Amino acid sequence: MSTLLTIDDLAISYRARGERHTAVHGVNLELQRGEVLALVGESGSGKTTIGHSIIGLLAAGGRIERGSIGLQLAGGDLDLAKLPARALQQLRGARIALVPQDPGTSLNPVQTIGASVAAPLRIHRWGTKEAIRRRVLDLLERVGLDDPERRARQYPHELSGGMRQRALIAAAVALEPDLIIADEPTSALDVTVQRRILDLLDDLRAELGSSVLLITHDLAVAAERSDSIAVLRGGRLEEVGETRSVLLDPQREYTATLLADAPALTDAAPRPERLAVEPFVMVEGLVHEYGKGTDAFRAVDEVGLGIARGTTHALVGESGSGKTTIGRALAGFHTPAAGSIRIGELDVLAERGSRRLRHAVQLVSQNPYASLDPRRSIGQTVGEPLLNLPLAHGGVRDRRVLAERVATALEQVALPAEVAGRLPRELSGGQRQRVAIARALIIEPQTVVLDEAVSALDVTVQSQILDLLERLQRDLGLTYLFITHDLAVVRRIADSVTVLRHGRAVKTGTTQQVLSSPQHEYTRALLDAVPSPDWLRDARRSRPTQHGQLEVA
Amino acid sequence: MPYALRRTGQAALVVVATFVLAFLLLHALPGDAIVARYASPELGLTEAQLDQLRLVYGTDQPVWVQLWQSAAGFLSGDLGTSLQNGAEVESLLAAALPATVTLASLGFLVAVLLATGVAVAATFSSAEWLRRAFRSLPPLLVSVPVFWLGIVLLQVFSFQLGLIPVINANPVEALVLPVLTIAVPIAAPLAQVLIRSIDDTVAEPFIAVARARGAGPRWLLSKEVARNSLLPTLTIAGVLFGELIAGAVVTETVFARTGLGRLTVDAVATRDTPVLQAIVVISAVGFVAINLAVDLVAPAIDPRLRKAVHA
Amino acid sequence: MSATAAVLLPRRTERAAARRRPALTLVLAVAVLAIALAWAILPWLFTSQDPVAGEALHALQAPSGAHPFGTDATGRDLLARVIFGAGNSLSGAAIAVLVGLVVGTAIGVLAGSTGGLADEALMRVVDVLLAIPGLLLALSVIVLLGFGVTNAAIAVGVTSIAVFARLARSQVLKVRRSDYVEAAFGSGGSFLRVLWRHVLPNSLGAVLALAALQFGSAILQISTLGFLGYGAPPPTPEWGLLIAESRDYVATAWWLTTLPGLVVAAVVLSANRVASAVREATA
Repeated sequence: MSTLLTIDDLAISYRARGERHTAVHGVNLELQRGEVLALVGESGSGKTTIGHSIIGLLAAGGRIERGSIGLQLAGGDLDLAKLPARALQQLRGARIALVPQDPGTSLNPVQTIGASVAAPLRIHRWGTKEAIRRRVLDLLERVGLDDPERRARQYPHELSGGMRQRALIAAAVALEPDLIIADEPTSALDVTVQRRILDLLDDLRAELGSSVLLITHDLAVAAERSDSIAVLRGGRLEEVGETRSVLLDPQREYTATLLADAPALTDAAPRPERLAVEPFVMVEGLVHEYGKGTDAFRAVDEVGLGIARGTTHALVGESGSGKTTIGRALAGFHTPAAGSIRIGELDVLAERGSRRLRHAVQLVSQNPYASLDPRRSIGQTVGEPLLNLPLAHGGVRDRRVLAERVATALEQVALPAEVAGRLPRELSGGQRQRVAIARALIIEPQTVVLDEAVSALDVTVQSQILDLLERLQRDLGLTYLFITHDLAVVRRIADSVTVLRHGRAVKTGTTQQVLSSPQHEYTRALLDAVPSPDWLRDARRSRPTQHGQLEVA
Repeated sequence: MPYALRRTGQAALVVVATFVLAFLLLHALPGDAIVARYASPELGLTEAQLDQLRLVYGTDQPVWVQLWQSAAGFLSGDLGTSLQNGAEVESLLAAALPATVTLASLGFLVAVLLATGVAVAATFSSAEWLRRAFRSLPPLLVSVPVFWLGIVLLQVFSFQLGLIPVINANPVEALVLPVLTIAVPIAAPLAQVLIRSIDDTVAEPFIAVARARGAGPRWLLSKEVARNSLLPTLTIAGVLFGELIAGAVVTETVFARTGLGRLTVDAVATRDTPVLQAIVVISAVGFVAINLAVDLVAPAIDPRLRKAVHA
Repeated sequence: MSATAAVLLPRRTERAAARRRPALTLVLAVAVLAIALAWAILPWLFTSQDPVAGEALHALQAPSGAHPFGTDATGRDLLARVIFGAGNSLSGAAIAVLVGLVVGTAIGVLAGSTGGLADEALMRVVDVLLAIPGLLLALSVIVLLGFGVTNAAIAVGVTSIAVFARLARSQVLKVRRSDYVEAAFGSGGSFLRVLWRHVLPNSLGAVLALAALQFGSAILQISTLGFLGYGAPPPTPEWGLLIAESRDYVATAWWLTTLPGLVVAAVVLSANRVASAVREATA
């Protein structure tokens, strides 16, 4: 086996606001021919920066400060860090290829799929027009697109995300590159699609004998797909080595934390079943349609579910399954075409938009960057419900009382009181999500709808927020409707589950029932899609982490 | 195509509404145009003579009747009569139009070439100082008064350098400076929009992907950027048409050329409302037609819009 | 105010305070505008010459120590005329911006926040205003109102109503769709309260940036109307008129057109530079 890529003491800096700051501090990596090296880390760890420096695509202001990026090709060794721009351009697309992160924006919207896939061939003058045309059709077929002739004529917006990513992979492997840099290649895709795309990449790598640099935030994906793994944190290498040895016996505390926090890898036992005599939240026969007449599209089709008081019910499904629509209906944000929703004695649909409803149920939405008014201080945001709903607990007119209540609410979500004076942009994503939760809880609702409330967060932050939600549930007796696409998170937090597909509930039951012995084919597909290699799961089951024990307790 | 039909209907509605507004603004609201124009004591017209004039111009009728008559006239090609010299407005326009169309279309052509050149140089030059220099050009030119620019051009090229004769210039020579003058206020905003839309396109992930495939600047510009930057630019076509008209008014005044602009200036100076109304309505028709054309052409440039068109 | 109450109000943080020094061009632009503003308010502080009465003896003198901008055909000091002209131009631009800002924003906010039929009707009116080329619309308004500095300013203001209305409406719509506005409704806010507390403050930043941009463009348009002879009557010092009057001497007295034009361009350029800074700050 020979080495393809040798990164030696690589340091990269960026210029921002007139100042240079270092994004990567002297990293050493090695990638063997035909193997997969996973670069793992949270946002800001420098993993994408390293990937981009190899292919010479550092964002404006980025610069390699020192070190070398050695590429050992048949024709001789090259140092990509010092190669002239033109020579690097010759390598790009031919010897080094990129599979980008977001297939939605990575294809030229005014170019046909065929033209996009042909681009690397044409740029590197691979052959005649006709030869290129045939090669493109072969490639489209190879990456599993049906009817290549038609696909080649279509435009990106006419294809699904998974199909677009297949087309991008076709373009990446068109010239049989030695090195494929896959930058979060599946994070923008639905779970069941993710697995198929990763399988395709694996097959092509084996077929072409290429090496893959897999950049991912998902430790489980790395565990399942890589030969060796490099854990990055704050632009520094925490740990690097053979994947199994690193994950089975992490040398660094940070790696262990990442492992413990990765929901797919924490094989925590499901929560103890709390049998409810009668559901507190009842949804029956819910129907919602978008559009009118013959164009009408049923986003939600006769869905019913019940949630016992003080428990968490997860609503699982891929994009377009109708899970968000149901959550928003429960929170009183829109009126379904048919059905009924009750929270305790309250008829939600009759109370739409009323203050009583707001007291009963609150919504925490997915994106903590969009859900806080950028111009208002955290204190103003968190205190707003008290001013809007003066019936709440004696009414709050007194500024001092208000400030005290805000401080208490922030304390509840483990934020320091001085955060109240800050603006949202001064907070991290996790902190913002805590603020959104504090705002929802300050009027002491009984029920909270959490719409993908942890999906946008890094795993360690995600884990902290899940802990927080569990603690609040215990302390305050809250009832949660937890909307997510991630079955691994469901296993960790939910008492009961409804699996949705195309607006229909395919399975409802306790988490134990649904996840341990999946009856429905779709549920099984969703479960299979969660990357979690057996060797790692078995090892972790026999030796649960501290974190895992905490969850069982 | 129901979309095209609906869009055309909308455009027609705007034209009709504009006609009504222009009529009310210029004809009816200032009170009696005849009094405004002829009642000044110097003319010494008697009340009876004024009534006679009112009868001739039809201003003795109620506003709505006048509006209706005026609209019917416009539809049949009768744009009314000039208050200034009694000439038919359509023949005044017909006489003025060719010179202005020549000036404006040449100016527009020069402006497009200029703007494209500046925008490409400002975004694709290899040296950063060059990009900066070209980038600062459009905001600079946007800030310059057009009439002043015309005078300075005249001063420099005709009087200082003597390159272009002021008197007895042949038709081509006489067009050079006016065309330059009218081109600048079109080119500057056009270049600004082009630069911004190229910048936006270059920041798109698919450009990074194309570069990762080994694309060089030429490929990027011609295959990836050009078409994507065109659409946002086309949307200001109507605004540029307005600038072109304003440019014609100013340029023709500065260079003492005859044409639509000059006709406008004279009409305003003498409060010759029928002439001004005709010019306003025809310009609005031009603006609406250009925007309509852009909307109908857009799907050919951006396939994402095609769905909306057929739906 | 108690310490606990104080924490509820936004506070300038170290990071905001440590923000980068403003760019040199911005400093220059602010300086130019400050000078122009000072000219407009206290013109006599900057020149001892009379802007209206001239001495025929000193007609058409090239720039010199006594007359930095030279003199015009009737022997008036050109610099004095430019300085005294600042008042007309800047106050005119201010009136124009105010007309566009107030009327346009009102239309846009009303259309964007109510929606439905009112929105449809208001936007059709805006379409009509947009369909008439700016200068022609301004000229029509002038024919309606009569010549003069104020009327010219109002006319220029009318032409910008449509742009303000469109921007205000699109901003309101954008903010209304945002998650934080939904969250504000979710925490029990009434329509008007959410509009006042969240939608307006977040929508109007872009509108104010446009107002800054329109200021420069209004100076240009007012000077154009002045040049065409529809603004201030002679011998009032007004920048456009100043250039128009000197057109006859273009062959002999270069300074008469060049220098006032440069002043106008510098002021407009500065206004635009400040406008782009405002846009960045409010984005």
